[in-house]
Amino acid sequence: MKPDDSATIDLKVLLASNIHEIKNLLLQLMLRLDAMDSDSAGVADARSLCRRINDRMVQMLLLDELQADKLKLNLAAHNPADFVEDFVRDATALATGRFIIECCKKQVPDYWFFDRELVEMALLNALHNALRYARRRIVIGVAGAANGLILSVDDDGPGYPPSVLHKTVEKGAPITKNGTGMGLFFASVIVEAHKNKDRQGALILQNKEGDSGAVFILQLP
Amino acid sequence: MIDFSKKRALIIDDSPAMCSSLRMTLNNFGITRCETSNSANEAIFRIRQREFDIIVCDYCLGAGSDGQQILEQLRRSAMIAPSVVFLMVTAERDYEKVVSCAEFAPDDYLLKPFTAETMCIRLERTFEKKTQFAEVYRLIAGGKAEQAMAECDRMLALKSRFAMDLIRMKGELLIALNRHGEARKLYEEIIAARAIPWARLGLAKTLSLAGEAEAAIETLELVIDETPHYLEAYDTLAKTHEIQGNLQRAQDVLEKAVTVSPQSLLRQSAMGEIAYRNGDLAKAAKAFGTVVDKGKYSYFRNHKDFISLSRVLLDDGKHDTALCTIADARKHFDSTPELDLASSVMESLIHHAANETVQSELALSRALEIKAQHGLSLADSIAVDLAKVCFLNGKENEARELVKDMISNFYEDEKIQAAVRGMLDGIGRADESQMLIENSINEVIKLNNEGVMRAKNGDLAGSVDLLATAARRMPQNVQVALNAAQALIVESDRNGWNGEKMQLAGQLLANHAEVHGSLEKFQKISGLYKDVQLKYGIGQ
Repeated sequence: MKPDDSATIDLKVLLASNIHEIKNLLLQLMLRLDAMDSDSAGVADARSLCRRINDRMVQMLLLDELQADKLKLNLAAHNPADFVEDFVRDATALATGRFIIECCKKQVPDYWFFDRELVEMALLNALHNALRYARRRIVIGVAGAANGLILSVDDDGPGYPPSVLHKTVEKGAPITKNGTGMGLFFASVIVEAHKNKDRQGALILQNKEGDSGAVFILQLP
Repeated sequence: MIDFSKKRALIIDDSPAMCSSLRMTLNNFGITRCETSNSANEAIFRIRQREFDIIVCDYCLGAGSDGQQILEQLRRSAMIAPSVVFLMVTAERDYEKVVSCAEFAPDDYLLKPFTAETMCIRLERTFEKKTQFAEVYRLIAGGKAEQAMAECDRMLALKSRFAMDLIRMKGELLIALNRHGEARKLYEEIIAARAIPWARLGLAKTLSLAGEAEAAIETLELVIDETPHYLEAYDTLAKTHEIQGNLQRAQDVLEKAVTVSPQSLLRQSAMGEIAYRNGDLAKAAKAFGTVVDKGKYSYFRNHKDFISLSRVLLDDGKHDTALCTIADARKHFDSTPELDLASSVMESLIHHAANETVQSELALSRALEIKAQHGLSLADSIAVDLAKVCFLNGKENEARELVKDMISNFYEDEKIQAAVRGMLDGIGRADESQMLIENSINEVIKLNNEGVMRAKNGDLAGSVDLLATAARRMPQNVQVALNAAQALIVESDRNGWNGEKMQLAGQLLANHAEVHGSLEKFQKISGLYKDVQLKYGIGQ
C-alpha cells in the first residue's frame, strides 16, 4: 500500500469494528463458559477472568469518552428493586458459594432515572472488591432517601485502608500502576455524571464501626 | 420461575457462530425449540410461517438493515403479537439512545458481552411483564381503550413493578381517546421528575390535540434539538405543520428526519408525498426512488410507492421511465385488483401525455372495467388520477361521477378537496371545479339534513331510508354513517327489535371505529347501540 492510501482508510471505523468484534468474541466465550459445569473451580476462575477482561475493556472505552470529554449518560426509568435483585442474582453466580450475598431494600421508589449499564458497572467494581476482602457476608442495598436513590455494597472485611478513605476520590483516589483504585475512580465519575436539576450524584466510602467492614455507597439524585 | 420448555425461540444474527452460542444458551434454559436466521428477510419468512414466543435479535445485522428496523416493521404490521418477547442484543452502548427515542422499543436489551445468568434474568422479567400486561393487551386488541385504561389504573394502584410502562401506556390510551387534558397532566408529572423524551413528545401531542399548535411546535422543536435522533418527534412536528397548512415546513422537517435515518422507508415515502404536493418533483422523485429501490426485496414493500414514483416521473415529463416503473411494479408484485387498477390508471395517463391516444383509451377502459368488477373504494390519489384521465379521454360523465363520489365521501377532508381542485385546475377545468365541488358538498349536506329533519318531524321510516341509502353511497363519510346508525337504532328502540337494521347499524359503527372511535358523537351512538341491545336482551 502506498502511504497516500492510508489516508483513505478511516482508522476510527477500523477501531470501532475491532472493538465490536472483541465484544462478540468475548460474549461467545462467556456463554460457552456459562454452559460448562459451574462446580469446577477452574471454570469459575475462567469466568471471573473473562469478566475482568470485559470490565477493563468497558473502562477503556469510558476513558476514551472521558478524554474526548463526551461522556454521555443514557438516562431511562428503571425499577430500582428489580435492578438490585438482578444484580444480586448475578453476584451470587459470581460468588459461587464462597460468600453469602444478601439483598436489603428500604422504601424503594417504583422507578428512578439512571444509566443502568454504567451504574451496574460501578456496583460491579465494588462487588469485585468485596469479593476480594469480605470474610463471609456481602449485603447489596437499595433505599429511597431525601437526597436520592441510595445503592450500597457492604462487606464484613477489614474495611478501606485510611489512604483510600481520607483522600477525596475526585482529587484522584490512589490509583496504583496495576490499576487498583481504578474502579473507585470510575464509580465516582459515573455517579457524579448523574445530575438532576441542581443536585449531583456522589460516591461515599465508609468503614463500619471498629473497622468491621467496608461500605460503598452510590447516591443518585 | 417460568417454564421455558414450552417456548419457541427465534435467534436473528448475521454471524452463524453467534447464533449457535445463543442457541446453546437458550437450550440450557430449557428452550429446545429454537430456530436461527442470518438475515432480516429470512427471519421474516420464518415469523410468517410460525408463531414464536421469544425473538432474540442482534442490533447490527450488516448490510443495510438493523434489528431496530426489523422490530419496528414487525410491531407496526402486527406480525408479532404484543405478547411475543423481543430481546435486542447489541455491542453499542449508544443503543440506549435509540431505545429511548424509538416508537417501538424492544422488551429489553442486552449489552454485549453478557452472562447467561443476565440473559435468563432479563427473559424471566420480560415474561413476568407480559403475564401482568396480558389483560391490557387483550382489551386494547379488542378496541376497549377505556377498560384497558382502567386495568392500567388498577395495576398502578397495586404498586406494580412495571409502573413506568403502565404510565406510558396509559398516556397513549388517553391520547387515543382524545382525553388530552388528563394525558397532559400525566406527562407534566413525569417531566417534573425528569424531562424524558417520550414524555415531552406525549405532552406535545396533547397540546396539538388541544389546538395549541404553537406550543406543540415549540415543545417538539425543543425535543428534536435535545434528541436529534428522535424520529417520531419529527413525524409529529411535520404533521402539526401540515395541519397548520405549512406544507413547506412539514417537508423541511421530514427532509431532516430522512437525513437522520435514511433506512426508514415509510418516512421516505411520507416525505416524497409531501414534496410532490409542494411541487418539488426532484425531491419527490428522489424519495420515492429510494423507497422503491431499497424496498424491492423487502417483505414490507408497497406497490403504492411504485405508483407514486411513476406519477412524479410523469409530471416531470419522463414518460419512458414512468412506464418502466409501472412495469416494474407489475413484475414485483402479485397481481391484485388494486395493483391492476392503479397501474392501468397510470398507464393511461402516461400514454395520454405521450399522445398515444389509442393505448391511453385502452388502459382507461381496463381500469374502469376493474373498478366496475371489483367495486373498489380507491386510495385518494388513484381516484383523483382516474377522474383526471376520464376527463382527458372525453369520458366526462364518468369523471364527474368519480369527483362527486370522492367529495361526498370525504366532504370534510380539505386535503382531498384541494387534490381534486388541483387536478381540475391542471387540466384547464378550473371554471368547473368550484361548482362541481360545491354541488357535491351541498348534495351531501342536503341529504344528511333532510334525513335528520325527517326524523325530527316524526317520519322515522323516511329518515332511515334516506340516511341508509346515503351511507351506502358514501361509505367513508363518518357524519352520514353516524346519523344513519342513530336513525336505525332509534327505530328498533321505538318500534321493536329489527335484527337486520340493527346489524347494519353495528356494521356502520364498526367501519368507523378505528379512525373515529374517539369522537364524542361516535361514543354516544355506540352507547345507544349497546343500550338497545340490552333492552331486548341481545348482547355479546
